[in-house]
Parts: sequence; structure tokens; C-alpha cells
Amino acid sequence: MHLIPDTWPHFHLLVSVFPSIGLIFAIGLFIAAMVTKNVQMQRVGLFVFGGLAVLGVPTLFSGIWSQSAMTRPGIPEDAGGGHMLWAYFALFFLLVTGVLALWVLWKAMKSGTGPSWNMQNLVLGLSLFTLLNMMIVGDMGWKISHQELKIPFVYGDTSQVWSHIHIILNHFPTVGYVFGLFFFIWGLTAKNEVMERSALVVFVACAVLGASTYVTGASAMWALTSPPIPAPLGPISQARINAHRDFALLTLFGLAFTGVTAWIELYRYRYQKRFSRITLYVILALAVITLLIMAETGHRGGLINHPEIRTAGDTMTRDPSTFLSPWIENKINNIIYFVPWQTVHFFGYTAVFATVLLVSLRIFGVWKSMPFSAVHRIVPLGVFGVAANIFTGMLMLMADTSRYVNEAAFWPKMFFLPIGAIAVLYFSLSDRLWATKAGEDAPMDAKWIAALVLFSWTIVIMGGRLLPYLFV
Amino acid sequence: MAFLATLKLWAMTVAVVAVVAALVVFAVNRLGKVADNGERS
Repeated sequence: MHLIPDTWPHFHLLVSVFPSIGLIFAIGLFIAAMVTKNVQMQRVGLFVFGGLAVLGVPTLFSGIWSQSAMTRPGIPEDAGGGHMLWAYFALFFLLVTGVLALWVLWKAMKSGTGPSWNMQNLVLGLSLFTLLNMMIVGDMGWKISHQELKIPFVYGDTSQVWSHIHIILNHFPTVGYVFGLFFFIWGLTAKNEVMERSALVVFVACAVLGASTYVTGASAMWALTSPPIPAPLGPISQARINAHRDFALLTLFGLAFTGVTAWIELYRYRYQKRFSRITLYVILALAVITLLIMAETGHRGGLINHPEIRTAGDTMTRDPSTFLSPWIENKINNIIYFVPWQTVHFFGYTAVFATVLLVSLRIFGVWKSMPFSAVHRIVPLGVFGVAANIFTGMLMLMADTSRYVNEAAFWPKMFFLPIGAIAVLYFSLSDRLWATKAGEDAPMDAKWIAALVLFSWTIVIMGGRLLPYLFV
Repeated sequence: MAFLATLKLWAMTVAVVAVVAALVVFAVNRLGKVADNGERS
């Protein structure tokens, strides 16, 4: 583990993701607190905005002090100019959001009531505007060190767009877990079930996004190695990539176990209106272990293309063929392993689509004679179908990553997969939908979500089928 | 030899699908009991 950075650029990489990517989770959890009208969670949400504003200070100074260190070959001298200028705007709005949030929190604590609804909306609006700025700053920041993202696409190669998406996406599970754990531990301590549920949703969403992260990572590998990035930016070490993706595989398992267990607790809560305390602590342990694995994965990923954070102690320059991932790739390429797992994949999506179709049709108004709670009983089948298919899908991908990622039907499949998988959570979370009794019409918003879920999974399955036939 | 190879592929496929199906059936059944307990209480 290399969590204590040696240099300012390294420190900046670690801290800057919290006021940017972290802000997305802070906003999401704050919206959850507002929707559920949970006063305690609203206060914690305001506190988090204040904390992010405080983190803006080390982000700013580590950024300023990193400038002198970012003079390695391949990076233009003025590469950080736009990032720096826009960062002042973004950090100013972050500061305003944080100070306002803390003031609203202080007023609420003093009066002993919940934070004012108007003020919460003001904080939310400001934070969304800050996020918009942070997205621009973040993207400019990534492009300082990652000059390879500017390499134009050449027909037949893997596009650097994948590397770009991977750089953005890989921060979601890592930073999301930090926020999820913060709210989860607070919820466990204060016995606040809304906070516990919200954290469980974060864990499930991160598990789904973990799969997308892995897939885009595999694509990025090809974009960076075939053909090799020319000097002075390259060549990129295959051994470093393999060291990273071996840990990425472990991360996927950690995310999957935590995510599925978290979902089971969300399901239990739906029926029993309470959690199993033991399982909650099991999820806590799983989440902490997963976060530790992810931290190492992230560090190894950073080492691939950040020479400025490498230290003399790094020993990831051994023979690329000695890692676990190439071994799995070699095995799964054999028909005797590929075909059985592909067959499981086919059964998996029939289970997913059957579940999605059944639940959606009830929401649309077919079988109104059934209460929604009765139809909801089938949802575990779909969830285990998704889990099985992420596992088998990853295995199939590993058989021939460069071919899959360069097929025209792959990106729509990968775009709609997380949307379909995360939107399904609505079926288990919405109290209004749950209350739909026999003979009653489901709420209109549920119908829109059902349509989105059905459409997403249709594209995922069609994309899979079209994979061998459509090329970029 | 071709017959044996086909047989091996069928056997492997059936075995893997059966193991995964057993796991899914177990998990869905177990969660069904969780739901039953909730609906009774």
C-alpha cells in the first residue's frame, strides 16, 4: 500500500478526486436525504459539503506546488494553464457551497430543527454548479499528464476515447466507496436506516460501475500498447499494466461480493422492514477489504502512466507473462472453458430479461390483479442473472479483449449495461411503487423507469448478439 | 476422437451450467424464505 505520497503531484492526484468525483456522491446522498426527509442525513450531507470545501485547500496548494514537478518530456510547458485558471473558479464555488452548507447546518443545530428546505435547495443548486466547474477542471487536469489522450484515432487501432473514459470511470468505485463507507458507518453508529440503505445503494452501484471500469480498462490497455505509444510519452510497460489488472480482477470480486450482499440486505429490508445487523457488519468488513484492494489497484493504475509518482521501491517491472491475467486469458481461449461459460452467460440473460419483462409489464398495467410486492418476488432471479453475467461476460471478454472492444456493438452494450442494472434498484427502493396493491395502477415515474430498464437490457442483449458482425 | 471431444465439451458445459443453476436456485429459494418471513410478520 502506498497511501502516503512522497511528492506533491502524487498528493494532488489523491486529494483532488474528492472535491470533484466525490462531489457527485455527496450530491447524490444529499438528494437522497432531501427526498426521504431524513433530518440527520441532511445534516451529515451539509457537513460533507463543508468537509469537501476544506479539502479544496490542500487540493489548491498541492496543485500549485505540483507545477514545477510536471516538466517531464512530452508535457507542453503551458499544459496546466487552463486547468489552473478554471480551478480557481471551481474552488471558489466549492468554498461558497461549503461555507453556506456549514452555516445552514449551524443554524439547524442551534434551532434544534431540520435544515430549512429553501436553504437545502440553495446548497444543492450551488453544489451542482460547482460540480459543473469541477468536471471541466478535472478533465483539463487529467489531460496535463495524460497527453496520450490527444493521439488521434487511426482506423484499425483502439481509440484513446477508451483510455479517457477509463480515467474518469475508475474513480467512481474508489471514491464512491469512501463516501459509502462514511455514510454507512455513521448510519450503523446512529442506527439511521435511511443512511444505511443509501450506503448499500452506493455499494451496489459501485459494483455495477466496477464492471464498466474493468471493461474500459481492458480497452485502454490496447489503446496504450497496440501500437505502442511513441516516445517521449511511451512506451507503456505491459508489466505495469498486468500488475494493475491482476489487482483489478481482485477488485471486481470484492465489489461483486459487497454489492450482492448489499442488495440482499436491501431486499430483506423491503419485506421485513429491518436489516440483519450481522449481515450489515459483514458488508462493512467486505467494503473495507474491497476499498483496501481498490486503493492498491488505483495506485498500480496510476503508476502505469505517471512517472512522476514512481519511487525507487516500485518493483513492477518484471516479465509481463508472469501475471495472473495473461494466464486466465490463455485458459479461457480454450473452447473447453469458453463454451460452458458462454452457455451460462446465455442462461443468465434469459433470467435477467424474463425478470425485467415480468416486472415491467406489471408496472405498465398488465396483470393488475397482482400486487407489486408479489411481482417483486422474482427480482432476485434477475439480480443473480446480472451477477452471473458480469462474471461470465468478463471471462468471455478476456478471451479476446482487443476484438471485443473494437466492435461497433460493444460500446452501446457497455453504455446501457450500468444504466439497466442501476435503474433496476428503483423497483426495490420506491415506497410508492411498493404500495401498489392488486388492481391499482403503478405510479407514472415507475412506468418511465420500467421503460428505461426494458430498453437498456434490450440494447445490452442485442449489442451482445451483434458483436461478431459489426466492426468499427 | 472428434466424438470424444464433443462429449467432453457437452459434459463440461452441462456441469458448469448445473453448478451455476444450483447456486442461483439456492440463493433465490433462500431469499424467498426471507420474503415469506417478512410477509407473515
